[in-house]
Amino acid sequence: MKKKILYILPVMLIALGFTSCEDDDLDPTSVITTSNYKQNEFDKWLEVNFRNPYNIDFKYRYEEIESDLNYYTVPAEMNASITMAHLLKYLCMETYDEVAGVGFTRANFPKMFYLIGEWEYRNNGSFILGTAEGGRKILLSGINYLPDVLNGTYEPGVSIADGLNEYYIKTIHHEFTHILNQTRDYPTAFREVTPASYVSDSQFSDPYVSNYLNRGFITPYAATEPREDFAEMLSMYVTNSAEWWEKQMKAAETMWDGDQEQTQTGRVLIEQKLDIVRAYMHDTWGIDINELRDCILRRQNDVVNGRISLTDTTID
Amino acid sequence: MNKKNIFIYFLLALPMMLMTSCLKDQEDMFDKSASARVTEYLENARKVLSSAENGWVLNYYPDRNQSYGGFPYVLKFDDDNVEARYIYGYGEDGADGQYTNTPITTTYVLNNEDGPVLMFDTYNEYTHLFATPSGSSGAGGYEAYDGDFMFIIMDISDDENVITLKGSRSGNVMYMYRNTVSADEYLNKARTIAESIELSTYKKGDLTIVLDTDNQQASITAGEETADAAYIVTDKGIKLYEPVTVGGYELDEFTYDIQACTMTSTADASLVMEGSLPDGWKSYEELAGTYKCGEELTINVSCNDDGKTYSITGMSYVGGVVQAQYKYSTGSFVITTPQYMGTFRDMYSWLIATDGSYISWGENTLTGTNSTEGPLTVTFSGAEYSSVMEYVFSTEQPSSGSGQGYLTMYPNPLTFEKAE
Repeated sequence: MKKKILYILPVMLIALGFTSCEDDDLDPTSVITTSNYKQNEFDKWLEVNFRNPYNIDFKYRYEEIESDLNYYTVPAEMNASITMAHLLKYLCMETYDEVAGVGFTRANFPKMFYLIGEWEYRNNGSFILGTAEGGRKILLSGINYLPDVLNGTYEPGVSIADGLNEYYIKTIHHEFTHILNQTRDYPTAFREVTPASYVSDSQFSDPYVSNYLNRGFITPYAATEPREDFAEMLSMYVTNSAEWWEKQMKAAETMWDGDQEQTQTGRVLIEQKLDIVRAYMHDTWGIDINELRDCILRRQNDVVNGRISLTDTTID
Repeated sequence: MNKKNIFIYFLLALPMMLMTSCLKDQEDMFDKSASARVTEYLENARKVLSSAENGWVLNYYPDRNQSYGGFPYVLKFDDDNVEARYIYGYGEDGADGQYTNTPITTTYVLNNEDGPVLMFDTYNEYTHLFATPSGSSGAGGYEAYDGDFMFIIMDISDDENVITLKGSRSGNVMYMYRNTVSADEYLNKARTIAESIELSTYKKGDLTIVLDTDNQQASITAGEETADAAYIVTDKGIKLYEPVTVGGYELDEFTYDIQACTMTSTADASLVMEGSLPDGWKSYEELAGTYKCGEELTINVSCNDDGKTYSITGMSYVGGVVQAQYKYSTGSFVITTPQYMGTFRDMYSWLIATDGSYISWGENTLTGTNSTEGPLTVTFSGAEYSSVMEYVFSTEQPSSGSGQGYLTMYPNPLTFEKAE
């Protein structure tokens, strides 16, 4: 019996060899279709200024797949998107080109920007300015307000430079910091400066919202968690003047009386953190943050004073 | 035959099972790949869209419950762009309070995200009007007006004159009709119709339709049966969101005769419904007088000089005067909030909307309905809030952080009972 089974086995193997089938030719046309709209002048400008030098995809037309479906969002307005592209190039990419070299920008700057017209509103009236995803993509919201911010009518009493920073540019530097941190983590020592003072979702409630400086945070949002603290420290430092920074430090020179554990003034704490940020940027990325700040402020000044065209899409 | 042999035959049969055969009739169901067919479908859709010289009339319904009714658009497509006109367009050159047919032109895209999709993919103040969120509370807040700018193309009619769309967020089914007149003519006529429908009640035999012209809702009664539907104005009259069958009547679209104030079914020319004022209707002057509002408050309603609005005293704790409008179609009041009432100590008192559990300092409208039997009782209702509250804020403009508490509560729903 065993023998017979052994005879059958090779027959089974041969049978397997009979599984032929007709030839299926590969279809010469791909089943993957790409977006089917014609490139306009702006698309061509993006090709030359974003895609070719940096391999950055600047998505200004709405795509459901790139949007956060937890929010009611709308597309960005085309002309505002053109302005945003110019700002991004002049204030962000070219800044890093200048300070750290184009190789740094190419290697580290996010590969995709996705623009939406409105803010991402939460149901409590607060809203989201931007998000970073996986070191690759930055979503920028509220693009339709950019023209108002640029002519100083969006928020009365706020200068154009401050408005630009508050709503867009600081957000980009903030999100870029996350991306740098995701690539090379920041020193754990940073988390130990104010380890017990992070208040997560209470950051915008009292007493925290009005005592953030005394508690050792540069903004209320910095008190959310160490990661955000780090990104706020760097992005606020490089987008604001030295005078502004010193003014904040002055205001932080008292100690918050709401926490018995706190043994140092806000100024001491913030400056400890700044030292870590400075060393991290220098040692890990070879960037001097003072040089970065000077460069950003100089370029910001050019934008505010109208020395840069924010609408021109001709290709030279 | 013993069992052993059967077993051997069985084993011999086994290799056969491994000889997978090949059917030679595995022809493709379609002669092209799925994606090639979708691409073809979309290219055809693009051709159909751009073939309409006078554009397409889009009967647009925001909100998954169609609570605001429908809004006509005229959309003219070329290969890349859409030229959008909106019945209540305000445009850049629109004079104050005057609507304009000046279009706003932006891009559109046809893609295959959820089936064949038509999407307005850069911002257009008209096409994205009902989808644009804000930081205020209530309707038009973080959920906008639940409007769509992305539509699944459900069907293109064989004669290429009707395109059926489905809003990807609201799920509302909307239709685009090939426009046969000029865009200006269509929108001007539709606006005239909207402005001329002043009467709310239309009757013929046992059939009664009551229109809420603010929210474009029709309540239909035929004998014992009732039905509700949102409606939209057309260049000839009104059209229901979807055909309604009630009490043996099949209702869909009506032609409105501005002179005679009649609504005639387009499907049945003998169904001519006569417009009338609702029971309980009161003239502008008749509404003025003294009312009780709840157990304690006695309020006084007096006519303003403009002949359309009223001033109400006695409602506000800080002595503020509440403003109300007269609405001809209902013969009753309309109160909009928020209204500033005055200062309270070093704070600010506002009349805002409430539903008993929540308050809203966003814009809200309360519409009065008169009782049909005396003494006159006016009961207010609104889309989300049915009463008001006098509320104190520490800042000049109401905001979430500055609410301090209420000064005066009113009945919910808000009611005014006329003193004899």
